[in-house]
Amino acid sequence: MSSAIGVILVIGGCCGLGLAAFFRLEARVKLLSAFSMLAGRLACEIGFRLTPLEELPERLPLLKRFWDSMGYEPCGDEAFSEAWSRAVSALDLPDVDRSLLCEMGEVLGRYDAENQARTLDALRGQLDISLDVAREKRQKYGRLYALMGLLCGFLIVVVLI
Amino acid sequence: MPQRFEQAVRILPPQLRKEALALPESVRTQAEEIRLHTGGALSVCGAKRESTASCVLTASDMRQTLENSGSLHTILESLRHGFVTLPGGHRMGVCGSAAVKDGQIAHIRDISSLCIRIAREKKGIADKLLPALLVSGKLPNTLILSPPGAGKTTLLRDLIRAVSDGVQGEAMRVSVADERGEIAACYNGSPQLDVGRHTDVMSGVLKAEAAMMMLRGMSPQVLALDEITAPEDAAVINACIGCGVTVLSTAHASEPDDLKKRPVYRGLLDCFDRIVVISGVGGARKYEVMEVREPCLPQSA
Repeated sequence: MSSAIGVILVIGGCCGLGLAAFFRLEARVKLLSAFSMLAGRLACEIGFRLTPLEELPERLPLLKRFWDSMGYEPCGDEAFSEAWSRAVSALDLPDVDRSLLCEMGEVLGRYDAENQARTLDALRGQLDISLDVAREKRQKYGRLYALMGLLCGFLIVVVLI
Repeated sequence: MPQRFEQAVRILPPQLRKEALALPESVRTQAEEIRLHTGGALSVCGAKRESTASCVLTASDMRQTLENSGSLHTILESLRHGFVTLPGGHRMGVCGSAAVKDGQIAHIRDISSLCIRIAREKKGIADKLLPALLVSGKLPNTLILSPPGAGKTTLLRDLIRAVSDGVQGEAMRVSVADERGEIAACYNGSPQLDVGRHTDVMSGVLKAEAAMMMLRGMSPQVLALDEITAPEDAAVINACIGCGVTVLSTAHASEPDDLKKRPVYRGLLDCFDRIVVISGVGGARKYEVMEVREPCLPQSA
């Protein structure tokens, strides 16, 4: 009985690790896709409406959750770009994606509308390239990781038995 | 009034804000301006005295204060004209080195000094003045004159409220061309300062343009605009009076004769029926109503 439970636990644990790797790839795609869309919306909102930063979360529901995670207080101790970077560093993304997102925080509210919109469009282009890479990786390795987890589980069980 | 002070100092960096809020209540209550100089101290100017906080301001403090005043893309247009309107209708004058691009000011950097003028709401000052202004219960075309900082906008705002609410006589539809957002201090479409129940406000648009837009779209009985400075403003006042709208406005001058020295205003003096001169800067204000001519009273129709 105890060996059966051990087998289930080992296989389950390895499967879990494989699935976690799969979901990580999936989450990266979702996050990059959301930020790419957000960059486009921000470019319109700032370039056309000249919306002040503090009103952006009201106008862009897409930004609301991330904004809340920043805990940014206007006129507080922390500058907007610092709060933005802090929130980006908490995201489960590779450094290359994080640096792109941090760049977005460096631009917002600091230049004239035209330059912000132009930079946001450029960042969106770079995010889309990252997104393509992330999608490709998910397609290539996503199922593989899940399957590898399962196989590793079986292998360990076989070796142990 | 201390709340207005607290609202105005909100844009200061946290350490400076603490110092400003630590000033005695009498200073905060009577504060009219907060002045900041790079390498100097923060000083609060009141009606009769000036108080100074102990801190020494750095370039970073000045930059942070400007950054706290709003997103650059939102405030840039007014910053190019040397000021920023803050939440609550306070106005911050900005001095520094201008970055010029294609012959136009692109930005002001290396801030050398800032002057935050605290917007005051003195409800009721117009109530005492109205009996001297009204002619048969109707408001004539009125121009308010005073040197800078004497309370033109404060009086204009209260006159708008009184006319719009019908404090003495019939309530009238008032349109306000609030170019700098100082009269009504609208936030999310709602005026933060009391400008009356029948008042429509157009903010952030050049006065002349806003006046014509409201004349076409809001059918005002009274049109109010602060600080006539450009020939376009004078032209639009002439046009409005010609359309049968009563105009309520302000200009920088100590007395009507000052206006005659400036070409923009020469033709305007004939347009107004009454001139209110504010005197007594730094202490209690005195309002003097001068009759220029007999009004035609267009709103009685």
